[in-house]
Amino acid sequence: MHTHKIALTLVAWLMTMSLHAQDKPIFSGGFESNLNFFIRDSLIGAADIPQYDRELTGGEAWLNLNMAYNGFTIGGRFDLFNNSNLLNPTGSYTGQGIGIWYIRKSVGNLDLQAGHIYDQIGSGIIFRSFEQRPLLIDNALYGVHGKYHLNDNWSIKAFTGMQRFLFSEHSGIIKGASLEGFHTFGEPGAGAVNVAPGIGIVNRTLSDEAVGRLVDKLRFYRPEDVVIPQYNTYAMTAYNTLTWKWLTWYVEAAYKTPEVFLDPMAERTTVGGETVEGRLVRDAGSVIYNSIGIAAGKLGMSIEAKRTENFNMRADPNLERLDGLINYLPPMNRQNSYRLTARYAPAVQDLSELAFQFDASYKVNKKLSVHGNFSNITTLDGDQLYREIYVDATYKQKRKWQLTVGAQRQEYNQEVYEIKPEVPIVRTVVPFADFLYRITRKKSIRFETQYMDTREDFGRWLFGLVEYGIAPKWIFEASIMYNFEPNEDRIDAVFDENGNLPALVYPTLGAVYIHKANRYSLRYVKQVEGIVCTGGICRLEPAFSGFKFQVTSVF
Amino acid sequence: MTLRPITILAAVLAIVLSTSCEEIPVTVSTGGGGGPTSSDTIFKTVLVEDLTGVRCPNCPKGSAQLDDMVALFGGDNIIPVGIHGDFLADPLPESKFVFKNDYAKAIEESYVPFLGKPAGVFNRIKFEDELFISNADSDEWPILAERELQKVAEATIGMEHSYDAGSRRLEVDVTVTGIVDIDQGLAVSIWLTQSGMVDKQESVGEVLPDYVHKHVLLGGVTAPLGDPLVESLLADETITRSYTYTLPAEDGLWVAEDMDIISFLHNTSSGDGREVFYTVHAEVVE
Repeated sequence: MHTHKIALTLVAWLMTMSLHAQDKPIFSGGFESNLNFFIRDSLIGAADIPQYDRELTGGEAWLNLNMAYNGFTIGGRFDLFNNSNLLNPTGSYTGQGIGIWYIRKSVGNLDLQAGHIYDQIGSGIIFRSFEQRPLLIDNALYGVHGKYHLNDNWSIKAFTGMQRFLFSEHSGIIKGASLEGFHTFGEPGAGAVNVAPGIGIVNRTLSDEAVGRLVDKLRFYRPEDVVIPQYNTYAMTAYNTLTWKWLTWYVEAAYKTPEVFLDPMAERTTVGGETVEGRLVRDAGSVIYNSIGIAAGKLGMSIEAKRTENFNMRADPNLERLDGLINYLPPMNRQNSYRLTARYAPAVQDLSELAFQFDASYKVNKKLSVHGNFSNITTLDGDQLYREIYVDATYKQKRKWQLTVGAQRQEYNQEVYEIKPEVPIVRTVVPFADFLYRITRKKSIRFETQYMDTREDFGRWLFGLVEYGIAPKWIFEASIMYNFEPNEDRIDAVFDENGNLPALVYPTLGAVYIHKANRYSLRYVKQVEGIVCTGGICRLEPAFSGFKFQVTSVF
Repeated sequence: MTLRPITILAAVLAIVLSTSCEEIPVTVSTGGGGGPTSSDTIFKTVLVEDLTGVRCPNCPKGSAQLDDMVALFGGDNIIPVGIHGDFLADPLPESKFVFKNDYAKAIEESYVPFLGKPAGVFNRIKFEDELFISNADSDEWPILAERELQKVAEATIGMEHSYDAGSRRLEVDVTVTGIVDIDQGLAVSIWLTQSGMVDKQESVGEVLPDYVHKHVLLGGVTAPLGDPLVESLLADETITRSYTYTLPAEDGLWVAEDMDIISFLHNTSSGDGREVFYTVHAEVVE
């Protein structure tokens, strides 16, 4: 049955039930809408996609509605995309309908759910169904899910279904189960050792069509390059969180049985004798992830390490880019928020990655705190992918003002992360400062400034921002990003008609109005091409020029 | 107590793994299914519009795939055309040639949106299960071509031409013949391509300095999206049209000796309803 019909039937059924009952249903929900007005600016590369050339506007909207009644919880979401560039930043997508629906009910110790399900096993290494709206990732499992509570501390869950994709599903069948628990050694209290172990398994069975597609591709390989696909792949994981006093230690090890997947860096010789990049290979995969956190008074530390080998898990190995991801690999770098410190962010590599991260913060006194972070990411062959050294210090003068200063050093393998040939490792130094001043109890002003020193990619940058807030209703923002010393050796550099490379300015002007649970924002934006990441999942997005209007509401 | 659930799950997993891991292996027969097999039937040929660009790192892979397809299915059955329209098609620093042109751009724009480059369009058919009319996975191109090659042609197009090197005047006569009744508007496109230009090309991890560019669409005798021919065509009906065109002056491009004429019959639909019925090609200077 079509998703729309199922959702409408459920709503009608529960509405009918509620009419005959004494308890009233409880509704909740949310609304989000983005509307973009595209203004062509070929100098910054904001051109040559349908929105700039002819469509002029594009946008998205999501409306969630949840209802709890008589032990049932049902919900749904209407999705709308009109000439949206969210699915493909260089394309245009239009579609609308019921994006997700679900129904939940607990019967004794058993929690049941059907419809679109968001869940994960462990940290998500073998299975995670989740939504990352900025990248239009919404890979909910469309199926059934049951969780049985064996006792207060232990539970077992199982699920099966297909992965959602826009308004339909990818064809592979996903099944999984896990057992999770909690146990305390010693007397409960500060000295006790707590463990939260778990094990899980996921099985993905490919459809005949998916295997047929793989076979069809392999038919045109040279015989020596042919690998044999199979329908079933299994991924297993074991994990545990140990907490003792100031220590939290999470460790997870996962293994995936051999399957056929595309290795974009593997060479293949065509039948005609040419060597090309990208070949279907068959290998087993593994991930080992370790995270140690220490919270000892004024000192907070975390040490993370991860080794990933051939852990590409998709609903269908024929899918590429961000499509069909079954799992989630935790990122191993600091999630930066300032404009220039966040400019180069490494996407998690699922085929070959060895990564470490160390993070520490220390509260010197009530006014001053310092923070440092170091991350290093290489391939398993030792090729440098990313390195970051970050420090900052924050000084708070009571509630009157606050100053954060810091610096960041990055090395970023642009060739791998942005698939650009013959470009150097980008090396940056970014000093920054952030000053917040509370003029009155309601009014505040915030300044940000950053400078990026790099000779690679776009060249050197300056960034400045002023943000004026009138709590609780208004925020006004003005910022400028200035490529004051552009790099003429950049392969994508766009010279003007006189053969000069202009020093480009990327301004932003915006206002936010908040009224009760509604938030409206209107911004004029010129934005340079760059990597957009959420939680280590990244994609390269082209430059933007135009207005962005956003409405969010919760109810 | 705590060991019990683990034991239960371990037992379940052991049963699942021991009973489910065995499956009958699939077989892969290399070499493809080949082209048309019956001598009595006229099968379709395949126009492959390769949306490409010199700044597209994966495009050499697409081009190599086209070479394989021509070798496997035959050069008269697979007719590739490189569309250097707009996206990733700007020349590189120190490129000798500008392959990007407005004629190609008009064609590329008719395929927007596409998922990236290279993207192949096969007889302008939007295949079942495909999101777009173009396919951005070049590993799948031979499969799509093979599907088209196995279709029986509904009409054909024949081409005769003459070229005068002195005046650079090209005369092309095309003859369209219906095999079955076709109740939709038809159009003819006549394109001009050139191969053999040695110039820079982005590839994965490097810029290839001496890459040999093939099948680059330079322009056409007809409008980019074709010249209308008839509103419908009956079986055995024949329609002839004559075209003349003067090649622009040589500048490394428009080298007549390296050029091909591509003529094809297609419908006048737009969007996902498009279809190319038959394609032929010939060298400008034979």
